[in-house]
Amino acid sequence: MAWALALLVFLPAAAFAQQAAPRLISGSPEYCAELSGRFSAMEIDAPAHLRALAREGRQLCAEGQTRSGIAKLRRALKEAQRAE
Amino acid sequence: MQILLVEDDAEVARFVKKGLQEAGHIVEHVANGRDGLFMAASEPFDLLILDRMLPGGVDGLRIVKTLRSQGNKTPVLFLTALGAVDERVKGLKAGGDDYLVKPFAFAELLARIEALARRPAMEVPATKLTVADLEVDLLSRTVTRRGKRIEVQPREFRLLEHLMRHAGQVVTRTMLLEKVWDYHFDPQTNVIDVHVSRLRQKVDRGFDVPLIHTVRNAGYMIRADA
Amino acid sequence: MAAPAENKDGWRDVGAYLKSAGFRFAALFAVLFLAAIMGFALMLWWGTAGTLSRQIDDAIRADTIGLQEAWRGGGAVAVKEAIGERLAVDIDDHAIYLLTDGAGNRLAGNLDRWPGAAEAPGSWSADTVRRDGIEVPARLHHVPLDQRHRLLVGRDATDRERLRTLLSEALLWSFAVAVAFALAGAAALRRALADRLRAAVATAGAIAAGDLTRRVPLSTQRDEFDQLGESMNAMLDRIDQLMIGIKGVSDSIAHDLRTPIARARMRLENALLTDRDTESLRAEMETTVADLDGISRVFQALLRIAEAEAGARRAAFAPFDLATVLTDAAEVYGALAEERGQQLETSWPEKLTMVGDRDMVLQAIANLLDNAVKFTSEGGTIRLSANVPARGKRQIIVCDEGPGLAAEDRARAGERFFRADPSRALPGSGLGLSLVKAVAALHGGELRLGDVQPGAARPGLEARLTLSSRA
Repeated sequence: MAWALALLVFLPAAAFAQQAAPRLISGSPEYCAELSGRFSAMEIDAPAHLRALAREGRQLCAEGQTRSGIAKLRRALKEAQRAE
Repeated sequence: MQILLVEDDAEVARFVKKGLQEAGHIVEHVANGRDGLFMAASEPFDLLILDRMLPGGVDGLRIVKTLRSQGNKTPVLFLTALGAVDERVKGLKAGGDDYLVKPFAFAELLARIEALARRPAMEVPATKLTVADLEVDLLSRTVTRRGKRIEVQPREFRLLEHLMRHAGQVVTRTMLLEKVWDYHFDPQTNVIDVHVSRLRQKVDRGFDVPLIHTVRNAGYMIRADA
Repeated sequence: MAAPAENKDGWRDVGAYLKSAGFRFAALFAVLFLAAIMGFALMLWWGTAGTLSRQIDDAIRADTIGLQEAWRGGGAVAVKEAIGERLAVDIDDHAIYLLTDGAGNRLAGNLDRWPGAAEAPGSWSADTVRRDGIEVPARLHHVPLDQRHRLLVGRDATDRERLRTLLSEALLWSFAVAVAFALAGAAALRRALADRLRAAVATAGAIAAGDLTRRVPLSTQRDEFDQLGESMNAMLDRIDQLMIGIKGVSDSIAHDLRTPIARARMRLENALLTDRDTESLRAEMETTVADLDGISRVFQALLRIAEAEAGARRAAFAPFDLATVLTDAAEVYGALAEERGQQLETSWPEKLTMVGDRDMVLQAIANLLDNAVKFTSEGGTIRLSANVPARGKRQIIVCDEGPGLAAEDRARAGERFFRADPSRALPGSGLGLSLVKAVAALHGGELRLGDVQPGAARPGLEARLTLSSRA
């Protein structure tokens, strides 16, 4: 009986949890690493200012400022892509 | 003639009825429009004399319009105090044949109804009009009496023609003005008399029998003296 | 119980106010103004927030096409790679992607789970997603790939929402201001209308109350309201004229018709009192009948003059040839002239077309000829002529060899029943020239009287009747 009551209480909560908004996950340190890896693949041919940009991004990520780091890395990647 | 008189004024009705009866006509009188329409539609009359303003909801115009729409072609003379030209036009347009304004001379009324009653017969197109030894040729527009050619001006010709078409009937001065000159106007002096006297001089002078007669207080008539 | 009655009056007043033209014009203005503002607002919205919406949708579509190509080329792996490439260069961090397999596992993308709003395959939806704990609006497109895989492509719609909110607020405030302006403008318009109309309304009210001398005051602007005022004044002048005419007629009837009526009465009474034989009684009665006929004709003439003056006959205007009318008149009166040994000389063009009342014009010419024949002595000459003095005008001239009219009498010649002294003895009612004047006025013209030979003992009257040839 207690089981059923507990379920009754927690089921709505669970359902509510299910209805909570989906989360964007592109701000994590793992993603930082992924972007860093992408840039490495093309680093050799990249111009100097872009390599500097990427380095700054990696630095920021390491310091924990993943947002800014990801942004810089993305900028570097985009510029590099355009240069191709 | 069988005449229907629709008139709401008792005095006028009495006067007209008496006068017409003395002239040899049979007169039926009703005093309101509804009865008038009923009688006119159900019994045959030779002539209708209608007042325009009548009690009973049906006025003179309505009576004529209704009769005409039923195909009734009895001649109608309006006898009314509504004298303005617009009213005359209204009356004639509604289907009336003549229009006499009150106050009127009885001779005028008599002359006009006799002219109306005779009209159909005279519609037969004639090429010659004859009264005694006076002959008018409508095709060549010539006037001869006893074989002798008489020179007349065009207007005098029309005057003579009108008198002869109504030979034996009284033709009033107003009727001449309307028919021969085709105008509705009031000459201040009796210019018609002058024209008739000129015509008379040409037609009657030098001949022993006068044909054109003046009818006292009425008008003129052309006729061979009996 | 005054209160309920007052209330009822109050409501009636409100009703009247609402029905007033001023209010309706003002309301129309306000409605148009606000409609214009709303139209402007809609265009603005479409151009800004609308553009952003379209841009977002276009971007999503472009992405969808690209990713579908990748799917066709290399299946889920290719799609994953494509998504990764796109995210790598997404500087604004606005893109949203999610690739899941049949079990609902995330294969690629930056969303952790499938949003509830985008369940239906192929659907376009709006939902919120969490970024760093904050809920942001998103535009999402569900792209079905095969039985098991499905793809979500979307965009962060924060900017668009922010612009929408900004715009809505601004437009709402603008609308409030616009409403205030519309009401003020409407009130001003109504006021302006009422002001311009006040003069005319006040004058009309005064006239209705009985003061017929009032006229609408005109401003210097010469605008439509002034034209209305001018028309009203012209109408009032005309009414004035007509009322004077009516008064004139009743005066004449009262004064001058009494005489022949009195005469007729006297004659009959006399016949009653005096012992007469049947023959002379009959003669008296006949004369009286003639008298009564004469009175009847005077009435008739008066009515015709009144008709002509009132302009009632204008409705019967028709085109006719004046030359024909002149010929006919000359013929009728030519005989009369001949009787008196007079010569009637005529001269006019072969054809003189005009628009008017044929009978009335003939009556006028007849009256003038009648006078001419009457006043010219036996053996004299009368001239009847006509010409075109100017375009749109016709002129008829009658010259006689009579005593003419003294200058001071000429002005009065148009008065009803006026007889200049020399003519008092001659037959006629004195209405002849009065009618000629009325006919002239009816046809937009005038009658001018003058001397044929100024200075002579018998100068002769020259009557010039000018008529307008057009209706």
